[in-house]
Amino acid sequence: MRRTTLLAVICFILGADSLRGTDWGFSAGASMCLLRQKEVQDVYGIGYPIGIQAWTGWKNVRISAGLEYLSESGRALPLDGGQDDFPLKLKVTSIPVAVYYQTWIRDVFLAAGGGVSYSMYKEKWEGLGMVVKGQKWGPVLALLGGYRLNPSWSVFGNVRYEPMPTGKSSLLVPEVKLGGLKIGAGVLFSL
Amino acid sequence: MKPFRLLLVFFLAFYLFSLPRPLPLAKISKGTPDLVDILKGYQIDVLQELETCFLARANRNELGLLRRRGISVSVLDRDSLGKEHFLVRVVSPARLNVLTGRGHVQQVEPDLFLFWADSGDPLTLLPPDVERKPLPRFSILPFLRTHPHPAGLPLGLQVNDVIATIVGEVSRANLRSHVQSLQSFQTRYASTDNCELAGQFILNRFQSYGLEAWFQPFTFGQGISTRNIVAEIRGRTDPEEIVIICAHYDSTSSERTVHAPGADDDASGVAAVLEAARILARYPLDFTVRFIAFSAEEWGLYGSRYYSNGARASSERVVGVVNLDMISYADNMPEDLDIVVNPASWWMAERTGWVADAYTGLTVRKSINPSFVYSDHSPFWDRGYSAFCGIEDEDVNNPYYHTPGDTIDTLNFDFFEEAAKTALAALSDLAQPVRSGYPGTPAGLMAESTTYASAFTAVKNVSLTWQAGSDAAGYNVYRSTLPHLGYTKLNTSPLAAANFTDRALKTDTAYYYVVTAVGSGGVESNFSREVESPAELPRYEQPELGRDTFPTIWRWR
Repeated sequence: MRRTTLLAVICFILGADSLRGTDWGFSAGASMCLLRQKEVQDVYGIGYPIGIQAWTGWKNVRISAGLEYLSESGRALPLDGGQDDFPLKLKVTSIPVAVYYQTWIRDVFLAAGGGVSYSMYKEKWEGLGMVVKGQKWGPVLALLGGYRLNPSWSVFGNVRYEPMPTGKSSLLVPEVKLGGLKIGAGVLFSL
Repeated sequence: MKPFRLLLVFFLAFYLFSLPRPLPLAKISKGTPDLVDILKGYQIDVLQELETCFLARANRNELGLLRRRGISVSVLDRDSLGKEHFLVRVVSPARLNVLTGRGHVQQVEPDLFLFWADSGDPLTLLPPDVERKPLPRFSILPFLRTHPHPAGLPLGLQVNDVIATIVGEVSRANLRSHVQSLQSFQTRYASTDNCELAGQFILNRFQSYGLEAWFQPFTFGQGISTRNIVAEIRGRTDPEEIVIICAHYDSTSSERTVHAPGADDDASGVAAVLEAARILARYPLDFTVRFIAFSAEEWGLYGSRYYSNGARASSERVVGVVNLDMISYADNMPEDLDIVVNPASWWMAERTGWVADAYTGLTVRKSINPSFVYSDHSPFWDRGYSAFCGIEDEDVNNPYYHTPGDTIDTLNFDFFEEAAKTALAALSDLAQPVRSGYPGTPAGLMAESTTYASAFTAVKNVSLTWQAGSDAAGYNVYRSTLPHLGYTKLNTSPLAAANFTDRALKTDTAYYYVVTAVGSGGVESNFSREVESPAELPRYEQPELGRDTFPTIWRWR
């Protein structure tokens, strides 16, 4: 499934480029994952995912595909006032693919867009060896703003809403959602 | 005129809208995996579990949801509100014709029909010798269980010498004497004076054994009065744990008001109860034993229904019910004793089978058959208590059944004695005779669960506490995922303290615990009372009925 997804992403980018791709770029950044599902936030707190993305575009339309990674530690939530301690580890790898509409005001660019994200997650109870893993598609909505430092380098900031639904229910919620509102920043290199 | 017309239409519409909507009584066929979970998810009012189906009150919306999930549903009565429905066993077409002429009849299973009448007292409309059970008016949904029934499970039980001694005290002469005495009342048909006299006789016998005994009066049908007779031996360790042995003392026949000897049905059961009371009266027991002779069983299980409703209302902790109904007729020898249970009481059949092997020479035939509802164990099932019916043949083969010919001379006392011994052994196994030379059974075992949740899953710790015994050098803790059998010891060496925490368990599994005390010589006491840490249910609000989000809710399991 992962290989198929990666191939699909590459085909998508190459396909978009072959339309009339005029430029390419790569970016790297980090973000804070806020406003998560309360039950997830209670266990893991704020998440700090890091990621890289490839960009291409034509006129005002830009397409991005990337790879994002989140690794978090947490503690199981005592629901009945217990004193025991169960450490947890959560790892999420996601592949977001999005289409943006971009506009320039001198050296400042603004973009808004949306797409889908394929997330693969794995939660482990450290002392017990219990593991839950899975993968699922989810939506992504994003606003992006940046400043071109020179023809090759830009800095940017973004706000993304990426709920990362998992399709799995828990004792506490009908469906666990690992994502939330992500506020991030990074650098972009244009070829 | 127009405003008047509008007002009229408005009131008419309001009246029509406010009319009570019909509430169908439906048959929901089994066969769908996780059907019990689905019924629980939709909070369907299940009134009866049968072998092949459930009978439930459900509105059209609920029935539609079940059908959309591929579950076979058929409506038996379009509007069930305010009616008393009876399950009746009918084996002859002639009898079916009689019923059809008196009310509505719908077939539910082979030989099993639902009967109700639009007017008149259904009790008088039903032929008196027809086996019947009024459907409960409450939902049995909370009590439906889906335990696995593994074959060849090691039960983890040990032979108790005291039980062997107890079983050896059963007297054939006493059994014969009790049956003869009960038969001598000519009839014990509930509503007759002779039935009440028979009740007084049973009370006197209980009291003659030194037991505390009392009448439990109740009325049924159109104000008919009668009485259950209850006797008790109070437990020494955990007296709030109650084990019941019961039988019905009323009888019926085609000449029911004058001649219904009911020797097999069910003087035999009452005789075994009396004999059990006589013997156990001299033995200290860990748990309380109640000996009950029910009345009005033949009318529709009214005595046991009254008792079990009261037990549930006062939250009595009934460990198990041993119901004896027709245990003395043998159509061929060697006769075996049928032990009939519902799925939730499966453990009782397993334990009774083990007990019969260990203490008697009788073979028991275990049968999980929730459609076997025509005796006093059934109301206990409805109230969520484990119970079994001990009977000579699940498919009644006694040709004198419900006839004036059901007399003592037709009984087989070889079989009867072994059946009475098996019942007494099963009762003693649950009530646990105190053994001299062994440490005292730990009392007051309690379990408290603490749950820890991650994003996806959860685990629970179960903390056990019990009262420390003065003669205990240590304790062993046992756990099972099935009630009352299959225990595994959790500790490698005896625990010094009277508490234990079982860590990191699955939250979707029920766990059952018992504790033993270990003496200085290494001998182990009886098991303590069993405590349960139930499977956790989701802690979020269930979606409203009608939104078909059900699969998501239960997927966590």
